[in-house]
Amino acid sequence: MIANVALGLLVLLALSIPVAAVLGLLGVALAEAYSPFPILQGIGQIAWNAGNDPLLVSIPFFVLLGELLLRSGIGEGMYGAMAKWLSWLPGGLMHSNIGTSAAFSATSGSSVATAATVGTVAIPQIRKYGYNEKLFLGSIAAGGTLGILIPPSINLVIYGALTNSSIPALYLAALLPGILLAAMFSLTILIVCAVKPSLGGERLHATWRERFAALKDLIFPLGIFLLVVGFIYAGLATPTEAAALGVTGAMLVIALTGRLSWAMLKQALMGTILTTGMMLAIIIGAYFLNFIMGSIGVTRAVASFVQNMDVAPEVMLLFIILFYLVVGLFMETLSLMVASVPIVTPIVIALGYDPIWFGILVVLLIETALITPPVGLNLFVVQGLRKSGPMSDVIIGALPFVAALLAVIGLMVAFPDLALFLPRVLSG
Amino acid sequence: QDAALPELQLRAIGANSTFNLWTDLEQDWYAKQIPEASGGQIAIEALPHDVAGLKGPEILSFLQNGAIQFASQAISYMAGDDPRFEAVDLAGLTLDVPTAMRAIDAYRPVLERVMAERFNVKLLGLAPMSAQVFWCRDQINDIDSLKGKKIRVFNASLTDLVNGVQGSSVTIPFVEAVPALQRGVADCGVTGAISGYRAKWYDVTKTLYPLNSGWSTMFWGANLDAWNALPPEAQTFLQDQYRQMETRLAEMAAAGDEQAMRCATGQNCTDSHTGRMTLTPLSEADNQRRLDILQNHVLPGWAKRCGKDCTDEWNATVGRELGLTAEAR
Amino acid sequence: MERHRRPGTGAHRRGQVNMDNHSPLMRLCSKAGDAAALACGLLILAASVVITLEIMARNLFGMSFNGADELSGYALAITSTWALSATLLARRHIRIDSLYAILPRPVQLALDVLSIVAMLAFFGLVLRYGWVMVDRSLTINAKSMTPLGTPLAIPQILWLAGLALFCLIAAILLCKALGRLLRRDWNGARQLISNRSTLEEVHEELEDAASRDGQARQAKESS
Ligand code: NA
Ligand code: NA
Repeated sequence: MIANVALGLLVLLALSIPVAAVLGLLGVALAEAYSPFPILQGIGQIAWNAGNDPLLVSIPFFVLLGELLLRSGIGEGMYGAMAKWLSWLPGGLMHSNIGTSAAFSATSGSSVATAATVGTVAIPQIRKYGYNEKLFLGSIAAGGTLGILIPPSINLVIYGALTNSSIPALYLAALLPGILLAAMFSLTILIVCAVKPSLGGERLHATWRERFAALKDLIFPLGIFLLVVGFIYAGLATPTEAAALGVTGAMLVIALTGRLSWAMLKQALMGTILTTGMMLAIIIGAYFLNFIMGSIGVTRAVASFVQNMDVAPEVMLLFIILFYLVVGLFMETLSLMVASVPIVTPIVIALGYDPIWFGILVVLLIETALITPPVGLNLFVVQGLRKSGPMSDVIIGALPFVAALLAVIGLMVAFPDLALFLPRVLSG
Repeated sequence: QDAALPELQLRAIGANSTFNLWTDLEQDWYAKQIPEASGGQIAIEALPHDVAGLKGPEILSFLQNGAIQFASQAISYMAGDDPRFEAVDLAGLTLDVPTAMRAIDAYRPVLERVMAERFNVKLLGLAPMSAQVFWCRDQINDIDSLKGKKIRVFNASLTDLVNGVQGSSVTIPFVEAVPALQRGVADCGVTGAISGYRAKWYDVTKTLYPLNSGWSTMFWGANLDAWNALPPEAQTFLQDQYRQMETRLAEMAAAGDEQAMRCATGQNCTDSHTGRMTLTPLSEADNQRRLDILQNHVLPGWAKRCGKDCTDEWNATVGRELGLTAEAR
Repeated sequence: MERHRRPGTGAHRRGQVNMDNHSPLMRLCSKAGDAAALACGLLILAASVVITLEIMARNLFGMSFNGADELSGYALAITSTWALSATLLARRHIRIDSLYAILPRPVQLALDVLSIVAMLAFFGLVLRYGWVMVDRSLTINAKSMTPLGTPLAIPQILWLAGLALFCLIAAILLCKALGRLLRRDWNGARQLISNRSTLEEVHEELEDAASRDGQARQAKESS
């Protein structure tokens, strides 16, 4: 059964059938083949639920925010300023993709929303500054994954609910690994561009005077960012609400600086809807496939296989990591967490590992799943934001960052204190 | 008796995987108790609904059309499908498990009928899961302390109760509830004593105030066609098993709530995790205010949602049992 | 194949197919898809304003008017189906084209047809069972269990309408494409359903940048 799922997925995707239809129809086929009940009838309800999921509501707001920044020219100014400051670094603007993603992650609990926002603004800059597309796209897909590691994080909240772990403790534990991972992503860019300088963008020569003059272009984006973060951390708004606030803030800035026009707004709205539509179509298909896989027991079959192995704790942990890496190739991530964490976490705790630490490890593994082919939601989002070029560009461009993620996962296993230090010190 | 049972392979959707109903009761019940009690004849393969990729409120429609055979779910989740589903779970209606069970037993025939006639579902059991209580960031001395507080609400009758205490209601999705309490987007949240303790709400709140806002009353049900297709011996056996499960859950609710509140407040807790919250018990004056709010806010609100006939029926059953009268205003 | 270009017009942006040499029916589809998408965009914008007002009212005046989150949930659900058509016409539904790119053109066209059929099949099923759900909501007068108590049939019907529109447009697109294939009008068929070719998109990219520059200039001049 598991082999059939994987094979069906691979063949249909290779045939360039739209991802949304592949996931959905595979669900239909599985329901027909393996379910004794008419679970297919649930498809309408599942699609409605997916569309109206509180976890996804912030996505169109973030995409619209990105579109507004892009279409009003604010985003271009922002990247222009950052180019003046970062161009001397091998990889130049790609570091600002990581930095912007990390900053955005502090406002958004979702990796997909983070990648969509940053990608909307950043992707049009690729040709302007002469970057190698692959690595640049990879940096956006990877940077976006920080969204679920750096608090707030939907995935950490769900992990907390599934394992009865303290969510504030998880948020604290995620901070250092989040910063470390962002640094590792930057390091990856440095290394790749040092080895092959042609991958970095054109060197832009800017004087210090030009650099400081360009800082004014960062005022508005920074102001909007501080507005959103400020409202979240001051306890004035939930992250979803703050995303909507960001849109209103951006609209105000655009209006006050005289950049608002119906043509611009219309473009921003159409762009938002096309991006959101592309993402939601895939999410509807993925939710339905996951419902079917859950109902007929695919995920459980794999997880209990791992559970029933009788080996040393270190080997067991290795197998669990492998399980997430392999299943993560194919599965939509939130469902993967819900289906596996209740089975796997008790084993991990029984082996003597800390549940808070494991939560961070799981999120790192989920982040990896988001940028590994064939099913990687962040890869799809970044590809969907481009105007041209094959999917393989994004996949290849993301691979060095998969290596960075694996390195951080290794560091987490070797030094659990990366996660556990802050919760221990700060919560006494 | 076991020998008379036919061999059956059934499937069920259980409660949310984070609920104690699943972890402490259903999981073992389906995996061990049913096969043992049936002498290995009947096997029910069960899966928590969130693991199956379901949200909760759609369970009833899936039971109705046969996409699922057996399921359990918080009955008030489906109040949107029929207001009678929140009738025994209204905020402030009952304060302890025995009284909650009296209300349930009085109303059971109504729910059995509605489930069967309107939703094609055989009702197999009903029991309270955990007292829904207030978890607040600030010191709460009495019911008046809730005045002006931003309280997270998730259903209509709780909103009526919050209006009654002159609090201001905020709707925040479940996943954002704990961070919202930590940062003060909400001053108080309402959740089960057991689930709040297990999800460590004591990390982000200071006062536990047991003004009951419902019980997260669970129901077990089966698709009526699937149920009717079962041999009578199997029906008798399963009905008996679900009634036993019902009794167990009610016992667990009472004992579990008590222990959870002790542990959240660090009083004689045997568990390794203890909170340092303060428990502010409901005083007699608070209890009078509760009844007052129930009569003037919660019951009229529900009566309006439910309509005249439905309200009359409630008054003749639950109302008579508890000495209350609901009336739309 | 001659393609007329009018730089900077809305229809060309975002990889929209050039509709100039298409039938009135296709142009109507395109207009309907765009209109649906724009309506959703305005809905999302409105939702963000309402949520902002709610935040302000709560924090400045201690007032609570609940339900903005619930309503924006419906806005997203409606968007999820109403956006499908425009996304299809703009050919922005993600296809993994690594293998596709190296296949001969006739095979590519066959896969293009298969892609539309697959989308139509899946979302057709969603439409069919979505109707079952809406019918149930209407019959039992289902409401949301929130303080707002929204009659669910209202947002669900709007959601379903988006699916119906998508299925209709996808079916028309499929028929038109099949018609052109039967007439051996390969390029015409490609224009309707093929994956966006690299060349086409390079043009668009340039146009897009040009018009953005133009607009940014305009905006600066007017301020
Ligand atoms: Na985040
Ligand atoms: Na993946």
